[in-house]
Amino acid sequence: MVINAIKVPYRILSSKLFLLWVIGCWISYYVVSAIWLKEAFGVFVAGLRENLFMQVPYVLFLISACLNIIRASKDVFKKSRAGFVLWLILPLGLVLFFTGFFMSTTMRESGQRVVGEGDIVDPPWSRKQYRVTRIAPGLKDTLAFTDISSGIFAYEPKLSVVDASSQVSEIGAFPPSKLDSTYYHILNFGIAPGVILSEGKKILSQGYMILRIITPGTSDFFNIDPYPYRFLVSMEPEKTVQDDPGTVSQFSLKAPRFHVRVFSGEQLIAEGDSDRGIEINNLKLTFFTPAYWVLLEAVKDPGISVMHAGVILITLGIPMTFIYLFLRRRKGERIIEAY
Amino acid sequence: MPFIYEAQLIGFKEGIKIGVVWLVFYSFLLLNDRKALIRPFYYGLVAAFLISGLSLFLPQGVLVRDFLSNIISMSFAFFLISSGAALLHVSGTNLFGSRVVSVFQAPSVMSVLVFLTAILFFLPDTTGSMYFLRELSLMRENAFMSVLSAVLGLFIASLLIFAVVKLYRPYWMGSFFAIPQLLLFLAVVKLLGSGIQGIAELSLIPSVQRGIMKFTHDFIHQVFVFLMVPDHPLLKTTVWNFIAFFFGPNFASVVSLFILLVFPFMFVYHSLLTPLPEPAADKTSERRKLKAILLSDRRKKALPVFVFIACIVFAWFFKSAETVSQIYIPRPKPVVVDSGTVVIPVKDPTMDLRDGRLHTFTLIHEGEEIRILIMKKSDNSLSVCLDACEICPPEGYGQRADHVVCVYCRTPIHIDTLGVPGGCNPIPLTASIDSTFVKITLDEILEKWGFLQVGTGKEELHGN
Repeated sequence: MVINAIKVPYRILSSKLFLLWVIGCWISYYVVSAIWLKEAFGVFVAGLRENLFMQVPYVLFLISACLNIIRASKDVFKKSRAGFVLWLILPLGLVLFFTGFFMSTTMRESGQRVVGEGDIVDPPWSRKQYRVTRIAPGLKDTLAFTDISSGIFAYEPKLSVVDASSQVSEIGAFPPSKLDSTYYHILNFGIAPGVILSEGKKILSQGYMILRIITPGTSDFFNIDPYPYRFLVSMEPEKTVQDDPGTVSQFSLKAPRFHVRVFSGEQLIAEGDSDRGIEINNLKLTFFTPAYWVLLEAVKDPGISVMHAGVILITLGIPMTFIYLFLRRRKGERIIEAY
Repeated sequence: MPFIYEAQLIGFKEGIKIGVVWLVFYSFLLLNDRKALIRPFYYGLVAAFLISGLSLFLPQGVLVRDFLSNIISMSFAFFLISSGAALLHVSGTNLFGSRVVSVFQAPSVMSVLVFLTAILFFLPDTTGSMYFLRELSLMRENAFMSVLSAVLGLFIASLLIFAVVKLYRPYWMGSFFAIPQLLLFLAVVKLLGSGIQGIAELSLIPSVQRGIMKFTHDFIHQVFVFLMVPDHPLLKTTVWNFIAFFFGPNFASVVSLFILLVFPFMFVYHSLLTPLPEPAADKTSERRKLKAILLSDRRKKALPVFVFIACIVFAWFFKSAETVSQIYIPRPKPVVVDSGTVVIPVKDPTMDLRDGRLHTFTLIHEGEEIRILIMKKSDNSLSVCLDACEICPPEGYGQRADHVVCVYCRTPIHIDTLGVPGGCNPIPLTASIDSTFVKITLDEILEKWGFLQVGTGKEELHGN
């Protein structure tokens, strides 16, 4: 009785028919969803994350795929061992990929944070803490408007962090670095001018302002509470050079200069650059050496390595499957010719 | 193109579709001694025409047209998926079980099936075409000429098919089809000739292309998110070129084409690569003979599939060149703030916000240019957003068919999802909209624009 209770679901799940019906049903679901809802993939992923009615069929699909591979493996292995290896890679890669996809969808934890040198990185799911010791911006020394399309980096920006045992690690943009089962990578990057707002000799406020002004031609603003001013900042060209077909403004990133316009409501009340500082009534805004900031993403995802393995196996498996089919075809032809 | 020619073309297209489907189906029945099944086919065709007459009572508007378009897409998907299922079934998987198949093989059940299939095939298309003709008549205020031209087109197509049948009697073509090939043929006919937007979209290719390309793009995007590949802004020199390849329209187009061709490839694989079954014959020579016949039959039935593949590939890239690369980027109109509010008229002599096209506006505030986009959605509501998203540099959006496209990363965003925040969607603005004006407060614009500028809000970096 118990054996039957196991045998029947096993027989169903390991059958090719069941697997084909699950795939067919998914295709039908997706097509209907895509035609009527338009954002079908997003709806599917969201459903897979939260909805048991999506998760159960997906898990059944994975189990059925695994059992089918095991069942089919026996036949292929009997026919040819070399053929078995060629054949196995692709289905195994697909199963790993889809398993990783499911794990990532359902188990992923992630967070993003703006950090600068000296900041502590401590994701809530990890006991380990890291201190940011250095940001290597990887920027070109000078930028021009033409760099907007070609890229403003000379090399990939890197972040150095140190843990409690003084172990130094580097984090770049891609691939993500894995530190104590958490992946870290840089999502965005920028410059934070250091500003001091003072009244006479009294410093009222001091700090770094996170701005998105590193791409030539962009501007960003900041406020300093409780003062009713908006400070609109852009990078000031270091020099203008003659180039075909006209003049090109160059921006220095080694010693950046900022152009600042101060607004009170709609009205422009002061304007100046970071070298001289800006006088606003009886206040003065001055600049000190800027820092770099990084938008760091931390991700805990047990599915990533499974997905990576899947992607690698699929990449290898596609040509191998063609070779396998070609060899099998040749063998088949020989059989027909023998009649 | 003058509207009478367009109406004529629609009639001609429907006529050719009916004629070709009839010819192939009739040839198939003749060769398989099932000629009697042509009757339910005729009944189905007539029923489809009669029912589609109801389209004359449907209300006018984008919603109804989209609904009809979705029904046609559904029927195309049905025939395509059914062809794959039928192929799997005949190649030994027994998808439906022997009992179900034996029920289907009963003559009365087959008649019903043919009748229903004919309705399913013809009804959406004829309804769509009649609806388009009605729109054309209303637009040109000449219903009589539109209908007459369409009937003339239908008549010319019928005459053409009749002449071909009389002169060449091409009933041999039935030998190239079994049930799966027949279903695939119906799907391909739908794909190539079921557009309902007149000359602007004769085939279903553009909408199928958009649908599958959207899937390809979304899938790659999701995989990149999972693998933590930075698919956006500043990292151009590191990985952007590599990633841009995957997000480019050419890659998505080719992958989408392969996805669409999965079903025809299944047929090719079945016909040319799967081992032949062992014939039940005692003598080796007979077995050889039977195998040769089987092989020849399989190869014969692969031929139309190759023709379908060629047609699909040609139509795909022909349309790609037209539609995939064309992005309409409107020139922004300047707007000003009046008493703390930006007021944009819904309609003026130079524009109509409800015309289904993308409209952009530019506001200069404190020396900074802020762009706003407005577009009508399929439910006739106006969506008001910033012409920028949270992720990409603010290069704005263009329009391609029923999508807006991020100019920077080329992400397609369906128009009906405008106003939904997040990802690469434009940042929605709260606006007051009545029949004459769209009003947006400057505070709302500045708040969202400020959010865009710093992503997650202003923070001081370890400030004092």
